[in-house]
Amino acid sequence: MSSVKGSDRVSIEENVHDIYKSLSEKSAQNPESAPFLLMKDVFMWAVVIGVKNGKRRPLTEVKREIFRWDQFSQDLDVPALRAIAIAETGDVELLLREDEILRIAEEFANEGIKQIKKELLDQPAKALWNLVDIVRYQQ
Amino acid sequence: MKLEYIRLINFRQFHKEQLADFSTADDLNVTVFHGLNGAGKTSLFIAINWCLYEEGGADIGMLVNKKAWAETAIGETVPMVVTIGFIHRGARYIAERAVMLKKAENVPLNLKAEFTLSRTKKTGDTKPEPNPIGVMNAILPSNVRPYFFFDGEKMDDLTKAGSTDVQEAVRNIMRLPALERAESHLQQIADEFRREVKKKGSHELETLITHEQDLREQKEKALKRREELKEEIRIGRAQIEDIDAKLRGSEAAKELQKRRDSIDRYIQDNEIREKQIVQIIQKLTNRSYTIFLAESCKKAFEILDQKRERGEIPSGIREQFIKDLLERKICVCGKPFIEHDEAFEHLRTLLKRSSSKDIENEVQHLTGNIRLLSLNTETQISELNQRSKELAQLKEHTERLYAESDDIKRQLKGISEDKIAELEKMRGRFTQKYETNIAEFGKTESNISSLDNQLIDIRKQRDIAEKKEKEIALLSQKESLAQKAADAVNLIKEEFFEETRKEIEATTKDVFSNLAWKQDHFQDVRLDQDFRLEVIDRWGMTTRKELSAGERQILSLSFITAMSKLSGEEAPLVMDTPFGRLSGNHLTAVAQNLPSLTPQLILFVTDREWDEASKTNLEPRTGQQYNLCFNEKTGCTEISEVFYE
Repeated sequence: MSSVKGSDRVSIEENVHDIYKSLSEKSAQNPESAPFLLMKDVFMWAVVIGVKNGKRRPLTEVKREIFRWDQFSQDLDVPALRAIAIAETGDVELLLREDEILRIAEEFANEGIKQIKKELLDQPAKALWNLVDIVRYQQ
Repeated sequence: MKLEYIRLINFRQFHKEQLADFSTADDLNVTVFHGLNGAGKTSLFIAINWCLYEEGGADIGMLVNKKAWAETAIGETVPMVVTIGFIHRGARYIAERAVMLKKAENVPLNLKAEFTLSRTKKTGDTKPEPNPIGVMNAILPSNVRPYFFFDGEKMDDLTKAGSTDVQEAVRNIMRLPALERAESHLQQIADEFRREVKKKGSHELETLITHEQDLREQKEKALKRREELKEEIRIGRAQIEDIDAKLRGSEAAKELQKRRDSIDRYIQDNEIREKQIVQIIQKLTNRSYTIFLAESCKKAFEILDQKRERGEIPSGIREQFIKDLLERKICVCGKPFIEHDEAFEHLRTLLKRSSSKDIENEVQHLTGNIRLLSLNTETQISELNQRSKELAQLKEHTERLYAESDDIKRQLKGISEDKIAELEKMRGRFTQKYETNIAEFGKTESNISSLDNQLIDIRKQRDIAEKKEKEIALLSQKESLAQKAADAVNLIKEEFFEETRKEIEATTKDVFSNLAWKQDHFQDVRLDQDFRLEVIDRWGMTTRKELSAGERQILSLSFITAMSKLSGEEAPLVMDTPFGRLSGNHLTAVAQNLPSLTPQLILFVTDREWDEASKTNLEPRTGQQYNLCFNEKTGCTEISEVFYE
């Protein structure tokens, strides 16, 4: 993979940071309430929910960097983000531009995180079982 | 500053070019211009003020010479120029105010003349000053000018009761406005800082510290409680184990207790397994997002395929392979080609495209990965279903085990042997207490964790608030410094003002006693704190109101020369009608003393003023004399030098 041009840090809007935190903090001790192992995993889910809904929203509020590009897994996350970027833009050249791939992902996540909160945190059951239901329902 | 010469061209009644030199020698520092009323003394006096400061030219009718104007045809131009040469601090300056007037039907009244100032160094190097007005003001400030260039007949205004001119004169001569501006500016800065401190200041930090203290106390209590609970749990477990041992030792309860021990082990194992499965499910769900990517992957594939079909991405054609074909000049079909023919150019294009080797590699890499994504989704979902099912079965099993354990409890309680029933009841109480403690322990742990998070947050807020507090402290410091500086300037100003007032008073008194002939009668001259000039007579009474016009003029002259002396400015005294109101002893005294009170004296006198007394006393110090000769036929004045016999 080529090196990242521009910032290799993944950003979200400051006002949704609490959602990322609630869903991933101390997840090893409390996996049912905090179902995601890392903020990176919350982000990937937020991205695909944004993609599923076909909505992207640029980050306009105060930004916060939450992790680096290196945290994305090469076998799963990076190919997923690249496929999303190509499908969204039709531009194959993007494969050499991680900054642009990241920007597209951030915009999808910015929209998707709201639904993640609604589906996982604002429901009566614990977040992990709500997440399992989403997977099963989609299947 | 000493004036060296004046040159006039078509200014007022001075037709064409007129020239006069001023005497600059230390022992012959007087220059006298003689003229009858209307001959042009005041015009020449105005010419000096107009040239250097553009003052005095308003409301006096036409500035341009009427003869020159009349002789000029409509559409033609008339020059009007006043040039003054002077020396200041070793350098020679030429100040010039000039205008070319184009004749029209109307007489030009509000003309705008250009001012230039050039400086000649001792080396002879002459350069125009880029900021002539500013430089002129630095040499002799325009607000100080009226105390050096003045009309003798209007001089006694200064002695009038309630005159603000005196105070204004002292302020200007001391350059007090500059100090006042500094004071006002510093005060404004202090006020601005004060407003900023007020706006930014709050009790935020104080509140945060109190809150943090409160959280720390809560955490301390929770930690203490956690230790107590740990101990209670340990005791509880020991109590239960103790009873279990007793039950195991009882013949009647032995079997039931053994079964319960076994159930407890199962439950424990199941709970451990449940936790493991939950963690597996967690990992699986984390990676299951690919379930939503089928559409994107499909689309990406289509795009990549289209690009390949269009030849935008070479499909497996390697760069080296094309290079070999080009080198051998034989096509893949075996047909030879030559340079620049169709086959050659096609291969060249392919080679160019294959230069984006990175893209090709990335595309191939991605294509493989997307396929893996789909496989991953299937595997993940299948395992997730399997693990979920396993977990449900485990939970169901655990529930059954709990039910069986409850049944054993009931059986043990029902044993007729009192001791066994009693032990089981006790066990029930201990278990309840033990479970309550376990629950409280979990809650306490979670509370400690929440308190830790709150403490981290509050620490962050404190850091921000402390930074803000530091900014406020710095602002307060700045405010205090600005205020102290403003107060100090004010104090200096007041002290300086008072000191100068006393010095002017002493010098005025000194000069006045030399000029006034009734020296025994006038005992003192005072300049009070409101800057009112007062003369005290031999009886200690104030006599200003009783002073004659001549005495008032002498008093004013004394004040003006005191001001000139104390101003630190070396400038000539240029006086129009200096002795108009003086006679006898006053005139003699003034004529005797005035040349020594100033570095250069330029006088515009009438024949009446230039009487025997003034002539006798001033002529020994006079280096240049001129007659202003008014020609009735032409209506113009000529400046002609008076030569000594």
